[in-house]
Amino acid sequence: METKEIQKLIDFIAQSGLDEVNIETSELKIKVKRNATPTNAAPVAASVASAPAPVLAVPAAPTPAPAPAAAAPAESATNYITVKSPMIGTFYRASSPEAPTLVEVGDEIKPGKPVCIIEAMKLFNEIESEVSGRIVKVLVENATPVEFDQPLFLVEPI
Amino acid sequence: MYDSCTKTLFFGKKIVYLPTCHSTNDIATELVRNGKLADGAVIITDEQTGGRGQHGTSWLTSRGQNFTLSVVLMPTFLSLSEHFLLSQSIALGIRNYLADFVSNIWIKWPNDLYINDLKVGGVLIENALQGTRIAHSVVGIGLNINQADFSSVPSGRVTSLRLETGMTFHLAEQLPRLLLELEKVYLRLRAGRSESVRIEYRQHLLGLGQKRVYSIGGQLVEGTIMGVSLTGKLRLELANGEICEFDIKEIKWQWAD
Repeated sequence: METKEIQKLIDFIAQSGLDEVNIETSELKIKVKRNATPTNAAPVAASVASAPAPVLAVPAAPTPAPAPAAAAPAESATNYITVKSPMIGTFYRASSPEAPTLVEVGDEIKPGKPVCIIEAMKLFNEIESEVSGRIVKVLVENATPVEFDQPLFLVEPI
Repeated sequence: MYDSCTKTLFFGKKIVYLPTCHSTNDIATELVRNGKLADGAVIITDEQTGGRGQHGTSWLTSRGQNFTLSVVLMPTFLSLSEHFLLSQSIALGIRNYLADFVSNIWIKWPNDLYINDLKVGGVLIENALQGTRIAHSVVGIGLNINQADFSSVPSGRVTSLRLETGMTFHLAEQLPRLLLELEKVYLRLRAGRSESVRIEYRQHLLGLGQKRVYSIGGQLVEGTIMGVSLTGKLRLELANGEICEFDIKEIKWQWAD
């Protein structure tokens, strides 16, 4: 077996999601085992910004792009609350262009705290929070259209 | 300067007069949030320094000559999908007030007030939502009454009640009349007679049933206004007979001159 073929085989195993593979032919015996160290980190949650995992520790994703693929499920896997749009309209982060934004990442919010404005047919709807927590992420650009139920903010309960 | 209204049920029972302020809507929002204003309370000013039109466009008015006010309302009986009814009621109430003095008053979709082809007033409504419930609404109204010089308005497409009638008006006497007309329509809405509000709003729509040219996605298109949808979209019949609905940013009015 050539080096190239072994490389291909390892790549295949990396994408397979299998933890351990043993292959034995008349010519060779190959044993590939995933890096055992990150097993404690298996619930992806805590690894949002961690370095790309070692090649062989790639989770069972069909694509060979480990880091970005891991980032998205990581966030949704935590206990963040998603604040969603109650209506179709245009999303604004402040009550007027010269006014300060209503909330920033890191701000603590409580029920009743205005978090954004959604304009629909010249009606400006100030959206008040129904939850308590800390803003982790703003998911929509200022002055862009939003759909009904579209996620607007990620909030970490505190 | 302004006395509380005697002929209304709750509109204008409390009137807060500020000789000058940044924005009556902002003041009203702040006061209502602190629990200091009840349903129907009015904030009125002679001079608004930071008045707003549609998000960001300013509404300039000459000191002490026009109505610049906000009404606090708690339309908890409206569901989220019925919000446009509030906009329709306010526009209709202002129209009915003006109808005592002039004819040819039109509501330019969604809620500007026109006399013939000239703008005489506008409405800006700000709702505070908790979930799908309206906690409170602040209805900002700008209405040109005694202003005679509009040389500062670039388009020149504006007028006032004075320019249309040749009379000048005492604002303190007129305010109760305006609030009474607003309340009449609002009470109809609260009593569940929303269909009558929709029908009358449609009757007074500027351009209803007329072939006019509109700018849609940058192209000039001929169409006929048929009315508005339940959510407030403009319903336009195009040349091929198709009826399309448009959001406020999707269609622009084109004036003949």
